[in-house]
Amino acid sequence: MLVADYRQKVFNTAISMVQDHGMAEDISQEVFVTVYKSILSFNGKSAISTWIYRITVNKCLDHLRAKKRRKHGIIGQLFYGDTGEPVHDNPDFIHPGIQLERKEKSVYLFQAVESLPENQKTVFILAHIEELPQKEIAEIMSMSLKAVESLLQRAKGNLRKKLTHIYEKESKTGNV
Amino acid sequence: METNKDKWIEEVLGSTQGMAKADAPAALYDTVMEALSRPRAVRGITLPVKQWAVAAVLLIAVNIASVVYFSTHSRPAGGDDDMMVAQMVSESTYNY
Repeated sequence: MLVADYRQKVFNTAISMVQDHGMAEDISQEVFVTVYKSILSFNGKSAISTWIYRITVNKCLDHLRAKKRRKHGIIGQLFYGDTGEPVHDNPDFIHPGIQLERKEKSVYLFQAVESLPENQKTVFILAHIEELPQKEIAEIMSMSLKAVESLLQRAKGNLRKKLTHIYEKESKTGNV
Repeated sequence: METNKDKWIEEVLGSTQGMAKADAPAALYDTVMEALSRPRAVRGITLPVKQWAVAAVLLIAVNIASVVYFSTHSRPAGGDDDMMVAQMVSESTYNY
């Protein structure tokens, strides 16, 4: 059964992308409703897991964009457009699967991940949290393997920059 | 030599190591089935923000153009119609 087989993959991806338990539940439900409604149009060119991941990523991005629109309003969107700026309502998010002794540090990682541009964030989560091979990520995101490699490198570079900034800020207050 | 900062960054980046997958609530299947059995809501036509913006700009542009047109093409006071009316009034006054 599809829900039983893929619910963990879908929910884990969604909660890592949106960093909100309730929103991840809504997204998971929407993903499976979409899957059941459009299963007949699935052409089988890619694996069904790739197709479900693609739907999940797209739903997550839709929800994040809608959240950003609600926060900035229509006028703000007109003047500033999509700046890629994060809408972080949950800066202390702790992923439920993180090991206890790593929870504190993972908060900083998810804060930094939230600041990445959409594509880099998606690639990083699929590669490091879902632990998917780059070939499958390329299929999910409909891009070449080289593009995925490049996005992943840029994501890691940007994460280091962001973490450097966080470290300097936190060391001033004695938190690290 | 690795500084404290570099060490800290590596630890943060490695904080996902050995993590378990988060699982969806057990009731997910029921909620999906319930959503599938619900009749489809009739939704209004929605346009993206940019299309609304273009429509609004066009509407304002047409308004401005019409104001400019009518203010520059309006007939001057004391034109033919005004003179004719004045003449009719004066003629009717003399007839009495």
